[in-house]
Amino acid sequence: MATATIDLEALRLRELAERRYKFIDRKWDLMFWVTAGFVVGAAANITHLLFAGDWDFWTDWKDRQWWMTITPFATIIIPSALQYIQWRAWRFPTGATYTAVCLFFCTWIGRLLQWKYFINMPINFVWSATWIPAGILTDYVLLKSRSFILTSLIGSAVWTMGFWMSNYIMQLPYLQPTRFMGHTLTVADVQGIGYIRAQTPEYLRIIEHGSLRTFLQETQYVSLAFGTTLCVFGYWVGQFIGRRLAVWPIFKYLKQY
Amino acid sequence: MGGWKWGLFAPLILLGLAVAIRVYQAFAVFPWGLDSSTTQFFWMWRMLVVAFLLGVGIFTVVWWRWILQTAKSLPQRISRREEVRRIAVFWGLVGATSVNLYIEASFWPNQDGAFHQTLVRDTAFTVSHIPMFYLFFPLGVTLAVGTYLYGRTRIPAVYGPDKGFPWSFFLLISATVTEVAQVAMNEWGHSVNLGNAGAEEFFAVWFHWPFVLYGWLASGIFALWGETILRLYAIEDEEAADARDTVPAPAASSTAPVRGGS
Amino acid sequence: MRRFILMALTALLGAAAMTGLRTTSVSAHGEIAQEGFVRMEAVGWWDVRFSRSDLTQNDNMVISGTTKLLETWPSNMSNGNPEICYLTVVEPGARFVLVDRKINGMESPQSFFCSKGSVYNFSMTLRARDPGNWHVHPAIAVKESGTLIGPGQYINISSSPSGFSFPVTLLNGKGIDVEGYGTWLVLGFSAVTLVLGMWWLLYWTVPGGIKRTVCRLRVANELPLNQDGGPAVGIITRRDHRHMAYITGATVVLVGAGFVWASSHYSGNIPLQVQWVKPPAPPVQAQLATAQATNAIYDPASDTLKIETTVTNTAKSPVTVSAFRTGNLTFLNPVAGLPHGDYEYQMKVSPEGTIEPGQTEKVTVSIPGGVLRQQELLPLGQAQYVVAGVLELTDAEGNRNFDTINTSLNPTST
Repeated sequence: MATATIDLEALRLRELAERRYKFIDRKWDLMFWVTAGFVVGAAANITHLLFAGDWDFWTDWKDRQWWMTITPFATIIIPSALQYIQWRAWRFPTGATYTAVCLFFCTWIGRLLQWKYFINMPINFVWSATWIPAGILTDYVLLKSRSFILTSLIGSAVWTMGFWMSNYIMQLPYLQPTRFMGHTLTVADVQGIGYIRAQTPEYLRIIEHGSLRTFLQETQYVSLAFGTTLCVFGYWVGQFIGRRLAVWPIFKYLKQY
Repeated sequence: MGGWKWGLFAPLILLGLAVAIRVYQAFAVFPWGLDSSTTQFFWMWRMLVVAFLLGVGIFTVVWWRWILQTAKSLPQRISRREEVRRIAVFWGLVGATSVNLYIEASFWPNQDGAFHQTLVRDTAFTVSHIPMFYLFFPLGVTLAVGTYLYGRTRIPAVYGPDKGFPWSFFLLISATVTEVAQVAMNEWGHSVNLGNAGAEEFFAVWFHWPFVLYGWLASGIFALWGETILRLYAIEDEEAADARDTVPAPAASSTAPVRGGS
Repeated sequence: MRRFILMALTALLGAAAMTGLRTTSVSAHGEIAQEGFVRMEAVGWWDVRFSRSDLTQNDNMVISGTTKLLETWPSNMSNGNPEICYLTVVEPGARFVLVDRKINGMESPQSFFCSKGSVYNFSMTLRARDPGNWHVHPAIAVKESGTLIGPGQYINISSSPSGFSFPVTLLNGKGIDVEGYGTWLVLGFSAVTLVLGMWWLLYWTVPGGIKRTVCRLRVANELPLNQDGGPAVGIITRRDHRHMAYITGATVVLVGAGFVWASSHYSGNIPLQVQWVKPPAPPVQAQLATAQATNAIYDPASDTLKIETTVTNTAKSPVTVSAFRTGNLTFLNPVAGLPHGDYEYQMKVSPEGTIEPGQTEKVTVSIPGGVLRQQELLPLGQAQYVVAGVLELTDAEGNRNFDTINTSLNPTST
């Protein structure tokens, strides 16, 4: 009897999902996905730029201590908000990937149009990291867990590790050692010295100058673990944005103003 | 095209404007956009601030006035199809606001980082600040408030005066207004030596953070989509109820053909 | 409406004019970034030379000279105590690459430890990268003070048929061109991730049927947040789960395999390096004379800045006041040498002639106000009415003496 009730309810919802409308057609879908992409990309980009942008602008800032600690926090915020919005509204596990793809276009337009063609920096010095693999993995966690608490815990670890591993592939050539001006430096350091940034002097780099403990040479993993912790916090900042600023206001009015 | 016309054109106009200014920069920055003390800088850049502010000011007055003036002669009762068309126009305006937010928060800030980190600025009115702060920032306010005025006068079932002021618009308009206000804090931060943070170009410096915090308020834009979608459902339900009343044996909804909307 | 527009136009024009219409033809970038008194008190520049002014891509050019963190370093910068510096170049975009930098003879690839009152003889070798006519300056960035710019000059770069390259040899002996090194890996890998991301998104958004978007809110509204309704409701089906597993699997394989491949292909990598140096002090020069400024007067009528200085010759031969250097400008006594470059000007010294050994004399140096105003060096209307700079004295054998002077500015009219 209980099964039949559930089946009836499911059938009702299925009919609702499949219902055809007179006015609502796919133009509305297209309009939503395309135009929302701009505001989502913008929000993700400005949050990243002004919280952690410096570590992504130049190869000689992409270090193993600070880049990995701050970036996952700064970049999970909007994907988290979008995960909530798109799951809540459409039951789509697409928020993180959608944000990562929008951010991809925003940053690469910026790097090419502004960094390369405006101030003439070579793209291999100013390339943008990618968040798409991390986004896919985090969305998969939401799809499987259907839980924002679990996604905040597991997803944050996945986001941080996914971000590190996928970008490490692109970063490695620039960590090759060389001798330059009589010193042992990485190719990334050479880029930072060669391509001159008048207002970003070398000392401004907030990067590993050596850790206080040896950590058995595992600074990288300590940073990733702390990056994950911060990322969990960032995830709930994003949830606040999604829940309170994007969804809660629907049909809420200030009666007196 | 019906109501979708502005959803296509308005974003394209905004993006075209940003690209046109970027092309102008390609010719006018090196060498005339670097030294704020030159006569060339005055005419090619400072005057652009004047032109932008005037342009936005005039556009704002004309557009808002048009929305309010023409609303007086609109019929009191409108068909469902007309309301759907208006919601489509509204989505176009929301889309334009979204595109403007991209230009405000990504297109120019990227240039801002690139330019200020590599060249030494000698004025608050730099070539990257001018289009960002004095054209697209105020334009954000114009678009957000204009979209509200459109909703208030054209979609009364959701945004009519009797409903009160919607939180969704409160947040979106707050985002655009506080972004403009934050320009002042930014320049102030660069001019004082609190913790010596303003002397160099560290992009993640603390006095840049309010640009982000205020930007998050723009999430209210999602509530606009939510509210209007729920209204569309209501319109569809009314339409379906009418159809039930007039047609004795309606076809099963799952096999009904999809029909053009607006 | 028309009146409103006219009024707005007038107000805005007026505001723009008030923000500073000055006339100058020097194409520069950022020299006037800091207030006048800061630039006069902070750093001195002398003997700045550009080895060539016409280059072809890949040619080298050397900027050499001396910079000093003056004893008069202002209190509002780096808390009055400069400690970490970076010698750099100001140019309009990355038109050159810097391939060598020596400070007091020491190779200094990155920042260096510096101190107030220290003198740094530098040379920077620049490799021409981008064709064009570019204005280039040496500059010194001081932590928590910003970048202070020295004298500049136009350098012309013509294009080379072979284009630009930036060759470097890795420690494993492999030669690379830094200009394009690793670009295709970055672009290629990023593009593949985009394909995966688009695959994920298009799967959910593009197909017809129940993969419509806007209509789903109705169902989602009726489901608890932690439920998707399962296959019975059909908004997330088994097929969806399977398909997402494929994309996730492809992502894991791509990242995992890429990680393993890159780790072996680019083995032997090291973390980013921090190689800060403390350059040795330059040889101490014999003290020929002492100089102390007693007063500075700006006379708007004659548009002249007059600096009164008491000079005592402590050497055994007569000395001459040969130059006064302030900010990025040099003012030469015509008796001692003629200006070269677009940052050197003439000044008037009275009384003319030499100061004899043991003698103390009041010397007035007169500097044209036009160039000072153009460079915003006169601190009129600023927080510190101060004039400072380096007074150079020379003896008959060409020995040089540099004295930092500073005094309060007395504007006869504000």
